[in-house]
Amino acid sequence: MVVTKGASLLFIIIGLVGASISILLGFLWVPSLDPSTVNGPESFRIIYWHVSFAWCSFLAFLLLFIGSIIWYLKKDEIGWRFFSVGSDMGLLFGMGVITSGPIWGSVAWGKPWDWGDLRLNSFALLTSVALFLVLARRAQQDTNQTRDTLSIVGLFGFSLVPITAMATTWYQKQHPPIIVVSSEETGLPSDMLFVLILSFISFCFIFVGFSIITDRIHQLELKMENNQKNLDEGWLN
Amino acid sequence: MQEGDLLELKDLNVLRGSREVLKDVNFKLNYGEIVVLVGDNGSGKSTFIESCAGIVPFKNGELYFYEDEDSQNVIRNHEGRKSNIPKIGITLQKDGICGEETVEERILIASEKSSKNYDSDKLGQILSDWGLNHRKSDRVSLLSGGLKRRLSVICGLAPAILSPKPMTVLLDEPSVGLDKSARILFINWIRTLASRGHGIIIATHNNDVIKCADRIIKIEKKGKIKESIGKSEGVIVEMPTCNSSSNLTSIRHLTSWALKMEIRNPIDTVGRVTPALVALLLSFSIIEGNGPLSVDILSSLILLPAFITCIISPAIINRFNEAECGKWWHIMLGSKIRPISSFLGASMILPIPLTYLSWFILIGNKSDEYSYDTLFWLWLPPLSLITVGMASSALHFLVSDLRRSNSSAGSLLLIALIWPFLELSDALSILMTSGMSYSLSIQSPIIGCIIASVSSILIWIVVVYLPDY
Amino acid sequence: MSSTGLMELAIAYVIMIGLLGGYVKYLFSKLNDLEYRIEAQENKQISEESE
Repeated sequence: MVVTKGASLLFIIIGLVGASISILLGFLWVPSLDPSTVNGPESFRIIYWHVSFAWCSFLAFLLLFIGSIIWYLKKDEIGWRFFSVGSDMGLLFGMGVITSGPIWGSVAWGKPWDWGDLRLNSFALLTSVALFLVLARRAQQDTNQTRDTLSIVGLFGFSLVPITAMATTWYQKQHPPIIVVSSEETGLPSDMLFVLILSFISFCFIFVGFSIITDRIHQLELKMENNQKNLDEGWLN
Repeated sequence: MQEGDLLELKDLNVLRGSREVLKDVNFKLNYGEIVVLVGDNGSGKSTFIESCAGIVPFKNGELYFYEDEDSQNVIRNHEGRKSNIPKIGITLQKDGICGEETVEERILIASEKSSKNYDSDKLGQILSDWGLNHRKSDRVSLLSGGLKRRLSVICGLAPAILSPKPMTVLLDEPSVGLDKSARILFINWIRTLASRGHGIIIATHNNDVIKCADRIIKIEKKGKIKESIGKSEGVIVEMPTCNSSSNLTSIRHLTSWALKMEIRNPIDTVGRVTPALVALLLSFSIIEGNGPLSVDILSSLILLPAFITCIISPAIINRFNEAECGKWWHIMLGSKIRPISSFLGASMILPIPLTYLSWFILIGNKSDEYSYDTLFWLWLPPLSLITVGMASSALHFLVSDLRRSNSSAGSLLLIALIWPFLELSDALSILMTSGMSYSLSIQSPIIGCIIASVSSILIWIVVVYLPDY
Repeated sequence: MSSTGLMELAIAYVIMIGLLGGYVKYLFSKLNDLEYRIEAQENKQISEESE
């Protein structure tokens, strides 16, 4: 137990330190963009954490999806653990993406939301599904029936990804963008790329640390509930 | 009397949470037998009854029903529900009756008699023997607790009473709420039913009912069962009989039930129309207070009231939640309950008239500014919205599976339905500016409506069929 | 809206830092609380068994 706590704390500290360094480098070391080429040239520095948040939420949603499938098909406890951690992490990092993304979009492109952007819309939908799952897990008794229903909601969330892909493709055809902007994936300068990779690795450490502790908390909650039931039965006897 | 088994539970293990409520249970219900389940509170008596009804997931084991001596029908195993149960009588712990039903309607549905072969004398006699005949036209919500319980008990017994063929009867705490005279009547009636070959399983704490058992099953801690011989008390009395067979509860029964409940108390219609009209009035004030709006915004405002009616939670869910009414229908209809309920819960009638109303209020005498085709084809986008309503209804039903569904933020899942709405708004704005196009291009309103419907139907399929797969 | 986007940048980072910091605080306080409560339960069980 102490080992788990210590290991996860180490991961989190390393991750936070790395992430903090990436902000400092991003603000102080990487030069600004040319103001004549973009709106709100300083706002691009959101990228260093925004992309890492997006990557971590992708990992979390993947964990949620794998957990949903495993529980749905096999009713295996490991599936439920993946599911629980995935939904908590998905909510945390998803919230970061859908708050920082529109802020960036409102400055850089003049509109906070783009219905034609597959990633933004998918993350928003999956984050709302994750929010539902986190709230439902706290409000409901932990029974197999609850787990079955929630794992189906998890799978429903994933069925939305291809549906959203279809819908955003249609939307882009109906509403072609007026200004073509270069995304962060095309031709990044090397210094920006370096800070981005540093941030990404740091966030992986944070993700692992958070996941270990979150899983530990879920296991302890289960243990506490079993202890409570034993105490209840002992009192009745 | 016929010999053999009516149902069998084989190597059954059932979990409630992490606790194994039933463990390695092997049980057979014989023809003409009364089996009483006893045990402490929370020992698993209701779980046993619900396992026999095939609505509880099994960790291991199987449930069989025997149509006759040779044919064994697997109803459920650890993979899920395999087939529907044959006709049974069932009384649930919380009655399983919606308050809007009348006494007569309820016993008709329970005994699964069609209106064509409805024998009013026999059902009237049953109601009369139980002191309910004078209340047969009253709504169940107006009955006292004791009378409701009597109705619930006779609805559990009526299918067997009026069946020429022996069947299974499951009764969960039937004596709770019954006074002494009703209890004696109950004991004698189940003894009479047993003499006709019907098999009866009763979960109870009541000593009088326990004494009428042929076999007693005690559910012990850790889910094991222990059998003992009962005293087989009870007297055979005169009871109505019937030679005509009844129909299985069908989709038609549920549909006519849902329609009847809504006509009697139109909470679904009112609950949908009210916010839609509020939205329409707000849209009107926005339009009046501003200069000309773009066609995109206008088309969204025109479709908004219809969209709102589609995403409101269906009233049938509240009706199902009342006294475990939905559980009764789930037992009777099996895996068909979810698709049909989501269909019945969707707003079918309101979207089209509301859209035309929106048009006349928001556009009014400015119709000439838009394409001539618009009014003629204005029904098409709201027709697609009906599929959005079905998807929404299915999502609400999925959330209602949770025990404390009122504590769940189910509306978060409806965000996905924004996409079909955007597609339909676009289709309407194209219709308003360029008129109808019959081409298969993505710009065509027809294709836009098809895409919206396809996305909604895909969501509906996932949400309706995954839970029972 | 600022012309350089500096204010928006600050708001976005405050939100992201707040999310991470808040979650770290939540995790460790929840963990400590659970450990304390489980220890109390186990002590109670031991004392009941010894009675």
